[in-house]
Amino acid sequence: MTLTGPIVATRLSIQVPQGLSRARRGTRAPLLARSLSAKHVRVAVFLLVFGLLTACKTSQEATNAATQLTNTSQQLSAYYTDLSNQVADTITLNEMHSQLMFQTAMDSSVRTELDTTQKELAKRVALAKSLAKLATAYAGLANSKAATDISTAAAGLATECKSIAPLPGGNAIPDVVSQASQSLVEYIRQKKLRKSSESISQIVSGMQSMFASEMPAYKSLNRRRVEIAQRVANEFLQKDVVELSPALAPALKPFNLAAKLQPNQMTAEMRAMAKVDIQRTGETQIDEFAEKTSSLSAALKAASDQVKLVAKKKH
Amino acid sequence: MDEALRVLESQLNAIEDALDACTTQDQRNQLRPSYIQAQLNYQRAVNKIFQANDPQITQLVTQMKQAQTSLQKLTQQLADFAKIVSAVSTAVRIGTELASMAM
Repeated sequence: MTLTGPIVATRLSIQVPQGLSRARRGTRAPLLARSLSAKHVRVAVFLLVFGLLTACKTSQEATNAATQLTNTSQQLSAYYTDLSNQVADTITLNEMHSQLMFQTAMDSSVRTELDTTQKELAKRVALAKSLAKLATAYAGLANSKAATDISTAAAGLATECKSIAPLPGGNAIPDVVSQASQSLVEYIRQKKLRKSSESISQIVSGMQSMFASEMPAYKSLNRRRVEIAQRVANEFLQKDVVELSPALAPALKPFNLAAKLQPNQMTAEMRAMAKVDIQRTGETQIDEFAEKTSSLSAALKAASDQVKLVAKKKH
Repeated sequence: MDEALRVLESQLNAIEDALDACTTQDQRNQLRPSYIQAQLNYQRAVNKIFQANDPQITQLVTQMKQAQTSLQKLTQQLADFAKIVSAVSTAVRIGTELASMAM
């Protein structure tokens, strides 16, 4: 079913004014009065409220799924941006390493391959941003106030119609019309949400499988960046061009003391201590990134499952 | 692919360890061609993993744009729905006022 504004509007206008226009003519009033007896109105109201409550549950699930998808897409975007920056750092570090090791610039073919890696990551940054936009659009439909707006508008319409000629059925008429409109819009919204959720779930699932297949490469790129940084740092340490005061801060800062290192004063112990620090900090960074990668993969899977749940929801 | 990447990464690390262990510049320079080849092998393997997914990225971006447009359209249509009823309501009110003036 394709939803278009005019078609929907026409369907509603058929539902609402038809009965009311009969009342306006006056001649059919007894028929309407019979069809809208107090019992019928109560049953109708009950069914509409029940329908709305069921719809509200789906709506809440869709809102939750939209929130989860928005959060995950933001995390994914930040992740790819960070990884792209890490590759940029790797290029700089490789330049430094090449100068330190061979006194010459990095080989141009290696640089070209690293540039290609960066371009590939830029595509994934764009992909994550597209997912964020999709999540926003999905949240827009999930949180749409259309049902409330239509309810108010329909109640207004019913009140206006009622003022034309008193209707049998009493004061319940505007309420019934209002709730019927709300239920109708909510029904359409839920139906569209479920259908959209199906395709969104497939998209997120596709992204998750791509992410999972590339996870070893992401972790490897991070490891390479850390390892080459460790080598360059150790080389600088060896050449005695590193300021070690910050490394001594944990011991001195609690007592408001600062290191007073003079040039060429670095001892073998201090150098060894700094090397251990470089090694341990690097290992921690690698572990943290690996953990972040795995949890992002799990978050993508969870978001896909949550959206799939909305798609499978039945009234 | 995961294992192949691991092996290439290990090779690269092994050559870098050897570079660190060199005592003369001449020794390092001798290792340079192997080092460059190991760097290329590793980086090409990474790019191969990424490029294998390029068609999927293109497809996903297209699907996302379509879904996004469809969702935005639906949300707008639902919002317009209420506007139409409001407009009808206003029209009815004006009609009623006109009718009462005519009476």
